[in-house]
Amino acid sequence: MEQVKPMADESQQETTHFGFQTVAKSEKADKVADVFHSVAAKYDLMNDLMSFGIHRIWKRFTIDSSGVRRGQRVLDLAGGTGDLTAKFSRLVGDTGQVVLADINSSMLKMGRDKLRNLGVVGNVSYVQANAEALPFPDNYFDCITISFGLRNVTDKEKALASMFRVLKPGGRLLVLEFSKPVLDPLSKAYDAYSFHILPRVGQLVAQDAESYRYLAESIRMHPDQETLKAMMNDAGFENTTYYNMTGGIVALHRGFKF
Amino acid sequence: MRLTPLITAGLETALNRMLYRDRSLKAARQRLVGQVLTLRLEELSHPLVLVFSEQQLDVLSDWQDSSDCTVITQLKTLPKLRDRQQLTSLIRSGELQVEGDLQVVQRFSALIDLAELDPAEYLAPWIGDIAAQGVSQAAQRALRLLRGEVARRQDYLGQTLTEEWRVAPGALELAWFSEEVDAMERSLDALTARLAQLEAK
Repeated sequence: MEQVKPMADESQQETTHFGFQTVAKSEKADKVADVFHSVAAKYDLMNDLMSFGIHRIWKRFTIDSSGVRRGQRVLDLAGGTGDLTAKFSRLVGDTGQVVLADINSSMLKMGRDKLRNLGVVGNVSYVQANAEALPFPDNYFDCITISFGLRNVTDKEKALASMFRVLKPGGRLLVLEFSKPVLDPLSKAYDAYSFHILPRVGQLVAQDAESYRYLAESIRMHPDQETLKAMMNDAGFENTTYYNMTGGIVALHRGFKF
Repeated sequence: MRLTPLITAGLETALNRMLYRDRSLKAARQRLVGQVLTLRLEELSHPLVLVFSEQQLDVLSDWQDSSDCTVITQLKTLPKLRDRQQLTSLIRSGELQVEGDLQVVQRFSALIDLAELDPAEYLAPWIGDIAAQGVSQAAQRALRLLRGEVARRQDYLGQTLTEEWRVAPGALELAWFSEEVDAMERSLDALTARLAQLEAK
């Protein structure tokens, strides 16, 4: 795995967010890695518990919006335990290819074991990769998805540029990520849930309240719908649109490379 | 967010439980592997796309690639697909329009025809065979009783309205009234024809 190293002394002092904390950019990847090493074993169970199973509907909508065809090449970035990869693998068929990429070795291992146990083999490859420096040729993928992963990336602009590079002309990027609720009462209820209940559930099930506190904080620090759309446009994506789901708690952004 | 992902999720779960759990259906499933069947229902704005693979059936609401077979029909016709023998008559009557490879819908129909729907089978892993069979039979008996009770209540209500309170006509009265109206219509037609004949003279 290639980690992006700061180029000069001054960039070593550059900071970024890790939840509500401000940390040096060079530290964030390690801190995020620690979080995911810790939660990997209970990741799927916690996803179901935390979202009451609704994350399956969000992912289903993402698949429906992907427009993936037989024989295409798909990159499931920050693919974790491979929920999207399993479906894409069946949709692209034997002539297609799906790459499940994740920066975290524990998550990648969980995903690989899970998919092999499900019989998802043949057209799936596993790559440990940093989204900021994707180890693939230019114009390689027909579709890239990054589901609940972008907010953990240290340099989001760099990651979007990297995705743009490896995407074929005509290809599309789908970013499924927590966002900003559109209704104020929902926003308050959501805050109460994520800062008070979620860490307790994390403690109870995964014996790790801190990681789930980070999850809640990182969601608040992530760009809202319009900001992310502008970031995608800046990276070169065109016809960028977003769809709010569950009142804006989650948004699916879609952009094309022409 | 639209309701479509909920519909596709529900349908996918139900069809996979029904068609992909039973090993005896493997041969029938195998004939559909790699095929794509699109169902366009008049009641839904989005199609339901069934993508068959070795491990499971995926249901999508959007499919940009070509489909091996497209079926255009109504929701009420779907249960009839279980009977393979009815396919031809459904197509002839126009209830079912098929575009593309007819064999795909025939194979799908054969697969769902072979699948058995026994609620006890789904309960058995949780509560055991004997208890599951007992619960299933009790539920079926309760359903039969409930249906009978609803039919009886409907009959009582009908009789109260027509016989006791006389606020609505009974079935026989309605039939007699319809016949009288028909007879009057026929007389009126005959009279109109006769008048026309007389006017012509």
